[in-house]
Amino acid sequence: MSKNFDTNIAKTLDQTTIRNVESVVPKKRQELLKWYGWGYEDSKFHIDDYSLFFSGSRYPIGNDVELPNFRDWMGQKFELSVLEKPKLPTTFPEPILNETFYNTIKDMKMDYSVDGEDRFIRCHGQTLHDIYNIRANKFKRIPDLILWPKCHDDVVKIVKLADENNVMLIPFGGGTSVSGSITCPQDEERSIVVIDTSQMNRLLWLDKENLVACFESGIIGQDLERTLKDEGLTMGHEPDSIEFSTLGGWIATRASGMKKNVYGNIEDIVIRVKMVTCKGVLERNISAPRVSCGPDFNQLILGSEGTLGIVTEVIVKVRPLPAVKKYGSLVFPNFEMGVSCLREIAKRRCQPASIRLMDNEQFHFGQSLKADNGLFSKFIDSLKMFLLSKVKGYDLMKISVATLLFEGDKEEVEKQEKLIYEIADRYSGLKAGETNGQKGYVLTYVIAYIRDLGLNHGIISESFETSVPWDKCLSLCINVKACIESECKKRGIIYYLVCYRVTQTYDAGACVYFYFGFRWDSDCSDPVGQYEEIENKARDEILASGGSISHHHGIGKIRAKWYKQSVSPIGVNLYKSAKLELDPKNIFGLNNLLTEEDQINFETLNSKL
Amino acid sequence: MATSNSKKYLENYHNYLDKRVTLFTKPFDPLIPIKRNRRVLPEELKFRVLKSQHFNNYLDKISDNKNDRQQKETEAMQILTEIGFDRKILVIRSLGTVIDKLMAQLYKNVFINEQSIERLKAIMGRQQIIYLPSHRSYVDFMLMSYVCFSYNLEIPAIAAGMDFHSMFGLGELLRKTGAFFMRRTFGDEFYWNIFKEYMHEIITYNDFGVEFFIEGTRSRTCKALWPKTGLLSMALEPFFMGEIYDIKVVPTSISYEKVLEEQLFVYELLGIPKPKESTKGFFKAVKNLIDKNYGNMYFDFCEPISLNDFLGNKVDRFRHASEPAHIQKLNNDELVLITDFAHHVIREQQKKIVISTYNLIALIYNQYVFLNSTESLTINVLQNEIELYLKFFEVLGAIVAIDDTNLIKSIHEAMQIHDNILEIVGEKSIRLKKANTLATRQNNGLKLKGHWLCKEMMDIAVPVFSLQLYCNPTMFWLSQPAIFVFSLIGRQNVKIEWLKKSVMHLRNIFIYELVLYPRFADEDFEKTYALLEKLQIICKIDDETVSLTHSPYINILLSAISPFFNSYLQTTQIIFNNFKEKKFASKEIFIAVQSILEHEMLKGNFSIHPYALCLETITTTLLSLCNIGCLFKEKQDSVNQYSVHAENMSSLVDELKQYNSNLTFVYKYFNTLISSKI
Ligand SMILES: Cc1cc2nc3c(=O)[nH]c(=O)nc-3n(C[C@H](O)[C@H](O)[C@H](O)COP(=O)(O)OP(=O)(O)OC[C@H]3O[C@@H](n4cnc5c(N)ncnc54)[C@H](O)[C@@H]3O)c2cc1C
Repeated sequence: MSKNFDTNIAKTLDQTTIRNVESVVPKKRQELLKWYGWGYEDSKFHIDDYSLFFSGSRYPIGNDVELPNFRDWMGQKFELSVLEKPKLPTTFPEPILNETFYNTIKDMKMDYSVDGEDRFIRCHGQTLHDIYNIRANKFKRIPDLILWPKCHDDVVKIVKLADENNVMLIPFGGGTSVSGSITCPQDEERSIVVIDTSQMNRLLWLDKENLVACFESGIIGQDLERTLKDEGLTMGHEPDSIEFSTLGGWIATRASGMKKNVYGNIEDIVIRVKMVTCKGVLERNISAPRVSCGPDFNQLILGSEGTLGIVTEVIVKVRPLPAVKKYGSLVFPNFEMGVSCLREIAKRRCQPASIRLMDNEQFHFGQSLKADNGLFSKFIDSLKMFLLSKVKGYDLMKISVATLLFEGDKEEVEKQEKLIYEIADRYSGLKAGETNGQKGYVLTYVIAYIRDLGLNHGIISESFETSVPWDKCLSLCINVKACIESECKKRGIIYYLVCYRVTQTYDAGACVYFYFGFRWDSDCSDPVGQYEEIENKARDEILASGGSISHHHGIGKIRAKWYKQSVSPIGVNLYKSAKLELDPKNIFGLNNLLTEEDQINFETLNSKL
Repeated sequence: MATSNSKKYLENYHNYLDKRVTLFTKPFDPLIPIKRNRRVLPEELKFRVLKSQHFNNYLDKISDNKNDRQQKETEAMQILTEIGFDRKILVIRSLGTVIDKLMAQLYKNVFINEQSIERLKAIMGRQQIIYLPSHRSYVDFMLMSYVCFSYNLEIPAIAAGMDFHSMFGLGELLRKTGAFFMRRTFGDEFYWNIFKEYMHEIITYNDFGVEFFIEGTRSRTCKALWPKTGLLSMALEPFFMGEIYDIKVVPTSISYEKVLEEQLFVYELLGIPKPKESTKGFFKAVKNLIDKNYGNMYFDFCEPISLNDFLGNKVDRFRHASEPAHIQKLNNDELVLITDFAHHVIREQQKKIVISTYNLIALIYNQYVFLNSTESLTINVLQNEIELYLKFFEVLGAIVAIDDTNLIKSIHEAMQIHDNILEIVGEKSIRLKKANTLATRQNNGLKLKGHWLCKEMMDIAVPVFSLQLYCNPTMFWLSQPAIFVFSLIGRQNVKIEWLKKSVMHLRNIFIYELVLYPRFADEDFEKTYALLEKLQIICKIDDETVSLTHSPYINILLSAISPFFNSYLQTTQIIFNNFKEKKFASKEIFIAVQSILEHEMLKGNFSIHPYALCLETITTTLLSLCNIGCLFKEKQDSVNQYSVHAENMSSLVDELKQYNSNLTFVYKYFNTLISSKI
């Protein structure tokens, strides 16, 4: 092994510190997870006759309790119709295999699969485009070979071998990407090999004194938290995809978690990271809390979206589990007041672990998702009574609701609560109870399942996000909604929904999430194309309104169009130089970040060499 | 010969006077342009200006200390009080009731395009709206509010000049119906910073919509004016800065069969200053005007233009988005786009200006004068000519409101409404009435803009100008074809390449007078060329050459443009002959042109069109001459001083003479010219 591939982390590791983690998600993913949509196979919305249910017992709205309000809401908004359930294909494209590579892998006794189904379910992420194509079986190119390395060294071997034989590699974590970053390139002629990191998910060591832990990159969120919880610890990174996304994926996409106010975003959590590239292993050999050491190459790894190498081992900060976890909620007379209040809270830097603000439309949408089973019942009714009886000037069709999550020890949380409610009071924010807050957060995980329900019924929906300075936050929301409405009108779309919420707050601005869905006409041949046109217009409007290309979903392929204007042409060149330095043969050929015309022409480049 | 398109279009109009309701008590729950979280009180806008980052940064910059800053803030509050509009529904109802009565008094019909109102209603609630009406009369001011109030549309905030404000009582009344006031001073940075921010709040925060006149002032000539882009760019800036997604702009066309101010305009164009608008004067004027019949008026909201659709692909709003809006300015490219847009709006307005019988009569009368054959112009001949003109305007695309089932009746009605200009004599032949302008001598004490024209001249000029005011509204349709024909007249087999050069040159000369926006020139050329070919006014000889035909439309076009051409020729010659060696201010030119031409005309020189006395035309001539390098302009003690570029000017004069030699017109409106002055 050449010197560049030597590394420092865990070099002479005491093998006894290593803890194997049994993952919730099995190696054969399709046994637990849906192949044609989001999440667990047993958890989904379904309609029998005229009633709507959510199945499975994983989420509080499940257990097949009827959801009458949601059905009514869907009916009102979209006028449902039913399409056929998709069928898993039985035949798959023949794998293109690089003989030397394939044979050597077999010789090495590496875990591998050329099974059609295994390859098929790993050709995509979770964008609408992906899901629609997978349901319609439209992918003409899927990975040719799946590999499950078990440790860093396995990865090193694979990467070297791939580089020698010009085989393309796709680092694959949880496959939850929503930027097209993981989607199998359709015009790749080389053998495409997926490196599934799921079997590389151990806790290598834990340092309780310094509160740091070293994990392998393939560990998925819920496994990681469960493992730490046993030690009374938490990492506190909770993206909404935490059930399925991986540590390596978070780093590669610059992910953001709900509780970043307490624990930070992924870039704040990561201390050291090891990435295997075609030229060797890149890592920063310092464990100190902060260094001044020239440009920080961790920042090159963060957001590299699988194009520069594979992250294998990561040292992260961990925290003691909080003693108290408490929810809360606030009702504002309108969204504008809510934004002003969030702004003030951010200004005072007293944000609780999470604070989110929904617009009126989303509030109603959320309310419709209540079953008659306790937790989710009666909020709207009691709220109605409350508002009508106690307070004037709150119109149910205008109010905006904020959900809060506090974490810390008892006094701390109490102090925080008091302060927040005091500030809210000045912006006409009324306390609306704990359960409503809790409900909001649970809903977060359920919302992802709705897209599949929609797709079954001719409704296309997707979310997208941005970050924006405070002064432009409100106008951005209004502009983007107006833009989408106008674009729908132009296309004769009658049934649609646009709603938004603020999901993160910072010193200088906020993160805003949009949900957009519409019912497509039976004579529309390309609803996804139509959706994408509109989302593109919406993204243009986001940028024109002062928003960013993405707060945490990343660029991938679907936002590459706006990359150059976001980082300047010199920025693009700088990225390209890094790419050429680390991967001159484009082994990691996902082609993210750059538009087609900006792509490096590796063929002419390599023929010159 | 029915003007089918016009007719169809006019079917959407309904006479509002037929369905009046009591405005004092009618319910008013208007549709608003943009739904926001809550309705905003007009007073809030002023406070938002004072609180805005932009204004506060500016205050910091210009204040010496805390005290000074406080003082300036107070000053700003005073200015905002002067600017800010208000909204008192009782005042709207009262004023509405008065206007309603007035309308019924003055007009036979108040036609409103109700389809256009429905179209407008359909876009209400989704975005801010800017109404941009044409401006031919003070009546325009009241009209928009009146129509909005009657049809349950939110009454927009209306930008008004300070001259209105100073009409004591009336200014405050108008303010309460939504007028906000703008000074006409330039360069007062403090004031404009406040005003601009106020406009910003109107667009981004208020939900009323806003109205202003893109031409900046009433067009005294009844032609379109070169648009002003100052207010417009203030209003559109939030779109460029990414603060709003879209604005719908609604050009609005208000046409009058006869404008209230007709005679005032004529005097103003001749240089007799208008009386200052005092409240007393205003009411007296109203009383004098009230007993007359002003025929029909037409009100039409043009198709709303989405700024996002119109400019979306041409602007890069992202460029501004990454910094705060309040620290940025529009760049030059964007200002050019706004000018493009302004011209587009003017054209949309013009397309929907309704042409009436009298406009055609005026054109026809002029044509007969120029061909020296007024004698033959009887009612019957007039009728035939009108039919020809109708056909022509139909193809051009104009909306002409003439009852062609009974043309004779239409002619008589039109003649009656305008009986101060043309009269029918003897065997039904038609004649221009000479004025008796004795009364003007009483204007003695007032400051003159130009030369003191003598009574003999005024007696001729007043009716000729009055008549011209009715030709002018048709120039939107006629000027471009006329320039083509003008280029071709007296020439055989003209190379298209040369034709284009000539057309472009003439466009440059008449750029301001006829509002010929250079950035539309190429497209205009193609369109006009196709139109003239279709009308068989020109015919192609081969791929590269064209000739004029013998179309009867040729004389229509030539006589329509010749008053302007003649005026330009006269002014240019006079400048060339008299001002080659010295610097001069525009007033000197006014005096020279008016006095020399007066002398000549009273001597019986019929090669001069009396419209050449028009000060506004002389002004646009000066502007054009600067534009094409025949004059230099420089500011001295805040007055523009001009000097002649002899070589350029000399060749221009030769050129114009050359063009003129192809015209065989005489401008003999009256037979006998006995002058006491000579
Ligand atoms: C319902 C839902 C909710 C979501 N909520 C959030 C949220 O709250 N916050 C948020 O930030 N994101 C969210 N996402 C987006 C997505 O979960 C994140 O982008 C996540 O970080 C992807 O992780 P993954 O393990 O699934 O990576 P994958 O989807 O497998 O891969 C994503 C990219 O990272 C690369 N990659 C993966 N692993 C490695 C590795 N070990 N080394 C190098 N490159 C690698 C891949 O090549 C690919 O380019 C959500 C997505 C969904 C579907």
